[in-house]
Amino acid sequence: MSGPEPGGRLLGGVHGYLRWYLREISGAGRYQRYLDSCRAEGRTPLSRAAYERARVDHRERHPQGRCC
Amino acid sequence: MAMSNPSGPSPSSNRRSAGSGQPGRGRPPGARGTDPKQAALWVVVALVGATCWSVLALARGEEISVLWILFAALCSYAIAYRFYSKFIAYRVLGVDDTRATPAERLRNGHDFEPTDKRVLFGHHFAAVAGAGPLVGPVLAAQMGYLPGTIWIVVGVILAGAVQDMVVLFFSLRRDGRSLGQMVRDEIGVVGGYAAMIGVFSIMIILLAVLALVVVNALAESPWGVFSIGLTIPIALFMGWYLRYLRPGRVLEVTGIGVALLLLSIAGGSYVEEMGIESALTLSPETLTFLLIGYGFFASVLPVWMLLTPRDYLSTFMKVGVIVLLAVGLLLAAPTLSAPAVSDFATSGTGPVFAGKLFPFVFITIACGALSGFHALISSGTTPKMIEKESHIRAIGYGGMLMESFVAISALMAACVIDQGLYFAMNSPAGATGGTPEAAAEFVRTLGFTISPADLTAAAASIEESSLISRTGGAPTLAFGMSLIFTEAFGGGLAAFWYHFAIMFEALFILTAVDAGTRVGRFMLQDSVGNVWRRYGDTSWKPASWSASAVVVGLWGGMLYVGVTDPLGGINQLFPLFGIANQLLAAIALTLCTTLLVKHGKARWAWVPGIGLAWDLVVTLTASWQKVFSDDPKIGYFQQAQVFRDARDAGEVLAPATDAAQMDQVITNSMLNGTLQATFAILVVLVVLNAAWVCVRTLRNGGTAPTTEVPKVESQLVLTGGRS
Repeated sequence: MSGPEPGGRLLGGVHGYLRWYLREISGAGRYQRYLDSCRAEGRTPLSRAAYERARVDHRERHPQGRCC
Repeated sequence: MAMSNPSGPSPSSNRRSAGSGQPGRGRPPGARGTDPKQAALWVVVALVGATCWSVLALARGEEISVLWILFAALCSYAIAYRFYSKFIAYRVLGVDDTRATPAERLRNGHDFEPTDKRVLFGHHFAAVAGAGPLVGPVLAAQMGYLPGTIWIVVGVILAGAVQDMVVLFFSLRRDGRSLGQMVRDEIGVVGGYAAMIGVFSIMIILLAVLALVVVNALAESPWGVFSIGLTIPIALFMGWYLRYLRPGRVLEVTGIGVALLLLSIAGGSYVEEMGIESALTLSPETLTFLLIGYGFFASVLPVWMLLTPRDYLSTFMKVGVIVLLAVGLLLAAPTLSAPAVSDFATSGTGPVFAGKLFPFVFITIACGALSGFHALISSGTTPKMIEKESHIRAIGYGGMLMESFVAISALMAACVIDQGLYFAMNSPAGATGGTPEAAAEFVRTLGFTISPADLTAAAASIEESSLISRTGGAPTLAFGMSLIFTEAFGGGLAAFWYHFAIMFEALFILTAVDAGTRVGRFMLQDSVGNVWRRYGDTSWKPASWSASAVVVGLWGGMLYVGVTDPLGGINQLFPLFGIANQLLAAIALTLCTTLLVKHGKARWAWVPGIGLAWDLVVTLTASWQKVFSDDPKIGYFQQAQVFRDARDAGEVLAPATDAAQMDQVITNSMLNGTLQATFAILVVLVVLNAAWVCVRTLRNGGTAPTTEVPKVESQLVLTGGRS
């Protein structure tokens, strides 16, 4: 994850905020957090492709409605 | 469990975290005293809002800028959010940030995942806001700008946003249970089954009406068909890219997808030069069958191929266009062409939809003011991702305020259009006759003036063959947006902006159709799976294909009925859709009221109760009129009777042109009337069941056991963002 560390320095600025927000809302930052949690727990992480497939497979089984 | 930081770039200011002496249950943060600067700020906001509302209330017969509406709405939202939502969150519901949310307790990296408040706000907003808040206000503009404005703003503050937030809270306290499950658990089996059937059938109507809007926008529009058709290969390409080429690079592929989308819109102006204009000039019936086929395949294909990438495109386009519209309105600051209140408000003879201001404005504008469908999202994915209970305020209440702002923007876009053109576009083909001359004459009988040449010129300005009877709201909104964008940004790009807006609306709707068909399929498989276990296996092809076919067949059938209805599909089906959506809201608000009573908070039952009472009065009055009115323009059964009598006497009543169309009107009206009556009965069942539960609770000491999950102390420390 390219975002700042917890409680880290103030990046501020619209650009940094937007960059972070777009990464988070698109889910692009989730893999890095997954890697972090695997590292912390001593687990072997899935590859990026396998991780994304697992996420899509979950979505396949749990459809989310879109409102009118 | 400590949560890994969501990596926000913002400072850790004013942050409350579990176990650090933060305000406990029922006590808002920072409630120590009144800051004079804050108080002065809110006085200014209130004064600006009051001034704008006064101008809107007092101005008659003079030119009014849309900015008065814009700021009246924004100031009202700000005050409601700051004071009313805070009151509901802390005093009524008693949000407690020391209590672990389902996302924290049941975290699994998939659906249960603590998510930053601002990010979840985006997800929630993308899920709740669709074409509804864009279409309803456009149709309601036939009553003038004021009724719609008041309902959108007051409705969202007292009903819609309250529903979204309170349902979200109760679902949050029940591990993210769905609306149907909560009704069954907390109200009773009768109410539960009624709600389940209601949710499924209302979803079918919703999909049919949304699809009808797309069909009406794309019929006889080769440019539109070209651009929208290309979204399918673009989405397939994006799906392949994410699956095989660059997994997880969502932003990258969405950027490519949006660029391709814009190219496809620009390319649409060359359909004539490419020699494919006639091949892409499709009738409404052809488009209906294409859409039915599309819906089926989208539902059975793996989600990564079509649904997920389309969702990305739709979300980014949605937010982008809404921002663009807000900026456009500010820069162009157009004046309103519509009157404050039109004569149709009291006569009830408007051509866009039949009936008087009460109750029909309140059901025509559902999304944007009060939308029952939001309760499904608020009790679906969102509660499983909330980090802290207090976040329901920003996500539930704030998300709905945002949708309301979209609805206000759409209303303004419709109200800047010349009134003659507005009614020529939105009256059914049976009334306008389909030609510029006949349409101009029809519009003259309504009391407006537009020449045939002006009608032709308006269509030519956006490179369409005709704008007459382009019902459904989408073309009108697109035309209004093209006027605003052209005024705001210049460049003479009216045709591009029109098709850009059509593309954006169609993209929303097709995403809702994809996702809705899939959700409907899962609901059906789940229900049948109770008696035939194998059928409930969503990966078993015979079940998934047949369930998809049933769902698509149901909404496709309704769509076909609407498309071929001689009386005009939107005119006939939109009231049914609006009432159905708000009847679902009645179920959701009934649940909220019942739960407050069961939790021993009967004194606060008025909070969802205000919205519930108004919603029941509106929807049941509208249902009653649609079923029992002896005015054939309003009552479905009376309409059927008039056409039946005429048919038996060997006559053909306009707008039907032959005996077959007479039969069609009779069948459609009977079907619509039956559906309308069924929805109302289902809701009355839920309300009666709930009333019994409330009375029993109050008699037994004022509380009753609920399925609320016991409190577990939160260990989640939020460090990365602003509160």
